[in-house]
Amino acid sequence: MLASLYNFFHLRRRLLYLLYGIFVLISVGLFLQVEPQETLDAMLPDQAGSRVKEDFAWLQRAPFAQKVFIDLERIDSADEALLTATTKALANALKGPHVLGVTDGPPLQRHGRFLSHLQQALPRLFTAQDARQIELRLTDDALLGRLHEIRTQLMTPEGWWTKQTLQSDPLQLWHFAAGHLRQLNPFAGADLAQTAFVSQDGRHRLLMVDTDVVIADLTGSVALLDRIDQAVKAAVPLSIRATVVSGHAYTVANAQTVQRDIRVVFTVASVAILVIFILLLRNLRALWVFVLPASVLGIAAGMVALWFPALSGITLGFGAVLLGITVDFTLHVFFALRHGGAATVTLNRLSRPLIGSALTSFMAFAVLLYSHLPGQRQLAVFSMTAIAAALLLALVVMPHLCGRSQSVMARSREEQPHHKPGWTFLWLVVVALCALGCPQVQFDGDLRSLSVQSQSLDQGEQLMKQVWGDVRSQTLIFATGATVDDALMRNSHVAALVAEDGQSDALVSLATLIPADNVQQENVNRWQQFWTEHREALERFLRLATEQGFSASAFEPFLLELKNEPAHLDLSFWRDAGLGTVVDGLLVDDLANGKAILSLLHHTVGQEALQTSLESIAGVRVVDQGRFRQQLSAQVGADFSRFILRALLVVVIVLVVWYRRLSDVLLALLPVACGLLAMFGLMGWFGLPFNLFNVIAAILVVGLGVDYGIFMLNRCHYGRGMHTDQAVLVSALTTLAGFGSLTLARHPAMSSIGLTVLFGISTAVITALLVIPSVYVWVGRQRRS
Amino acid sequence: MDYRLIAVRLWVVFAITGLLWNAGAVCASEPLPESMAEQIRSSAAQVDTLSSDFVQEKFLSMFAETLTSQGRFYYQRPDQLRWELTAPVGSGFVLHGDRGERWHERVDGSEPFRLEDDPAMSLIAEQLFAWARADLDWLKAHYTIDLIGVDPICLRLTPPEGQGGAFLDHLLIQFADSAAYVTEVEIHEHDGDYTRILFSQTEMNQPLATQLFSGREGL
Repeated sequence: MLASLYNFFHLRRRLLYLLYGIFVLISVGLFLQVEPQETLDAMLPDQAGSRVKEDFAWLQRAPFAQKVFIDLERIDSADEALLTATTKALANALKGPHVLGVTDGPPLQRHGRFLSHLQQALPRLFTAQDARQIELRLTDDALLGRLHEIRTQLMTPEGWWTKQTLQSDPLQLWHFAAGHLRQLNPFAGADLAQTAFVSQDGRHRLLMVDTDVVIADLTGSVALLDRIDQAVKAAVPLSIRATVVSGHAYTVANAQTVQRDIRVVFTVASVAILVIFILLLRNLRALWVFVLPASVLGIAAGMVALWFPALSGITLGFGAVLLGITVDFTLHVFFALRHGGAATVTLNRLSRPLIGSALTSFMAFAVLLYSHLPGQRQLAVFSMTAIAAALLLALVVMPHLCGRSQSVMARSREEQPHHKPGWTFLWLVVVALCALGCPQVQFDGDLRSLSVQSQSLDQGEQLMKQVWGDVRSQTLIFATGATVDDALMRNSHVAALVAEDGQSDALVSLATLIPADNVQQENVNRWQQFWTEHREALERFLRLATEQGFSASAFEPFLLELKNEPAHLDLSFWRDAGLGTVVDGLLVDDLANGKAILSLLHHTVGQEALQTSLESIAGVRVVDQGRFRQQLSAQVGADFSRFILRALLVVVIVLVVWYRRLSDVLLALLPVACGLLAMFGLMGWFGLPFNLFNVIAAILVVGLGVDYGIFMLNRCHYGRGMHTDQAVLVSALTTLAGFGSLTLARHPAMSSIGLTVLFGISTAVITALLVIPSVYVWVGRQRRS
Repeated sequence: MDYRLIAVRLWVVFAITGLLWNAGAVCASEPLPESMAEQIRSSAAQVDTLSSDFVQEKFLSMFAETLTSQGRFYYQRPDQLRWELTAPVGSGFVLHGDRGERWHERVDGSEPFRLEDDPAMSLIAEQLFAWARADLDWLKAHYTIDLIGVDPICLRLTPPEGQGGAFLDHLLIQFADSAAYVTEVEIHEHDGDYTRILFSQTEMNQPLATQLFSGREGL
């Protein structure tokens, strides 16, 4: 049939070229139409029972994920006042484009409406500990001292401003309400006695920058970090060290590294492919070898878009890499038809290994359709489409594009299998030695380890953790409810459970400001009972005030305040107090059904039991970032391992069905087996972990290795004039030129793929070219003898 | 009816009415004439530095007595100021532009602040600079100015409705004979409380050490 098709188009080449042109146009059109999504959703398992995807959605609501942190540390001779002034100056210098706000401490304003709200809130927040603390303020000495302070404060110009507050709250009871507020400070390492983010040793201050730049936005991240850099240069003296920590820095560092890597890799790969082209191909028509497989990219992407609601950018990237497998098809057609005998005969002889090779790859990728990762299912559809289309182009179009070599010698060359038993044995010993490292390979599913790590980024992260606590790894606790009140009620339940566990200090919760209704009422009762029991102290205070020259009416507002019915504490109360940013930052109001209140729990040792208890509360969701990473790592790792094993199994089954002879099956599998053993073994020896990116390298080694095996076996069976050695060598060299140059990359994901492909493919191709012919000859001799 | 008694009562009524009439004439205010405004402007323009002792008297309903304190005041054009109480309590602040430091005798060191972040200090600084500079244009922009005395010049400054912070009802400012600086200020609050500040020993355009405005240890 292939011969008929060849003959048909041989007489109608314009029609063929027209049809191929239409194919390319459709492919390009489809490629331009698809809009890949740059999110990680496609890499999150979505099987029943897995909570990784849901947890990921909740994690997007982590309040500090998008923020920029700036640590200011005084060094050398800098004093505390300079650090304080610098913090203010930098906060001011940062205001402008991309910066929505700068926070330098818990929102404890010292004047205005806020203080009166704190005073009003205290009865409903009043704890037994507050009562004990207030008692200390009711001794004669303390009262006299306070009256003296009030007197002197009223003499200062600030007295004009604070007079009303001093009259209504002479004992500064608002301090106790503010103490509750300090528990909203998310920084475990901060000194809670301060009204700013100050470290416990007083050497550090912290600024938290709100920005409208999302972390994935490279241009915005560059502009934002540039602005911060300029502000630091303008406002921070040499005796203060500023350290900027944010996800944006990783985006920029990754992008800069990738840009540098692309320049290096592209240059090296281009030179290497040019050398291969000059030495081994030497014909412009060989460009079709690469153009034909590339032209199926849009068709494959379009097919994915047809089956899936959104095409993942990761799928597209990986898929484009895996198109390298299909270059084999066109390469073999190029060499066989260009240098072979009659085109139809050569094509017929070539069709068997070509279809066999495509079938193994096709079936291997079909296994991915059962993956738990949507991105892998997309990759399956993409690769299966690409393999089928590339095979079609290789068999139908390529024979008319590759031309015929003028060299009669080349066409008539007899190819006998090389038999080099000494070298073969030596090589197998080398592979076996490499394979000894296999048990040491670890799977690393942490996406962060595939990000660029520089010394300055590492130091920044370490500094943040040491000084301020692991803010960005806090456990998130979502208390959900049909209404805000329901969610608040559940949130109080969470806080109570954490308190029972003795970990209140580790909790940042709105329950601090808005206790459950029954708790609020208990606190009010405690407050009223306290002042009933301490009526004498109040009378004593008024008497002492009179003795100190105060008028009888001086503190009437205070007495009136004690008699007033306390205001009910809810979200609107605290918004009115000026704490809207804090309370709304912990309110999740964009759920499909209902609302949620977010609490943050600093990670401490032995917290797992508490997390389990919290999750037993109906409507409470606990998302631990460490656990999320572990689960993602475990599930993705298991999925990839399962895929590689199943793909290998499918490949074996296809080969068994195809060859129906054990020796042929084993010979065809030799390059894959040696390639994978050497790859994993060398990774083990060099301490390289198996990660999400070099899994792709494993797939490439399986796909190309089987191709090499099938073609070399075909060469051994029907060797004449096919130039298989050359095709396999060029295929391997082009792959190594492209991927091998990635070893020069600094980006961990790119260098990881480069190294593993280098290990796997170089071993597979040497095995294919050296071992298969030798073993084939040896098996033949054994049979004959 | 005792006509003599009626006559005495009428006399008392007329006398009281007359007294009130006269009092009204004394306290009557009028808009500040431009000639006088110009006099203040040109005199104040010659001031580069000021230093002065002051006595502050607070008449507050919270106290049965008057709160009296003493202190020292320094000003250097355009935006440096030091305000310091020396007795009975030591406290004060310095301002340079929009930044400053404040201190109190019971706490070591001083606390830096920015006017932008501190609405109370911002309002206080605004007032002090206005008096120190005798900046009539700024005062006109922020207050209704009435002339209530001529020799020396005495002005009543009333902030527009809803401005002047939570407390300020009006100010009374009395200038020196030269009209170059202020000798007396009364700050009247909405609740009837008021503060009187009497400046004395004022020295004009004497060189002032720069460290006076750099912090607590300036003196």
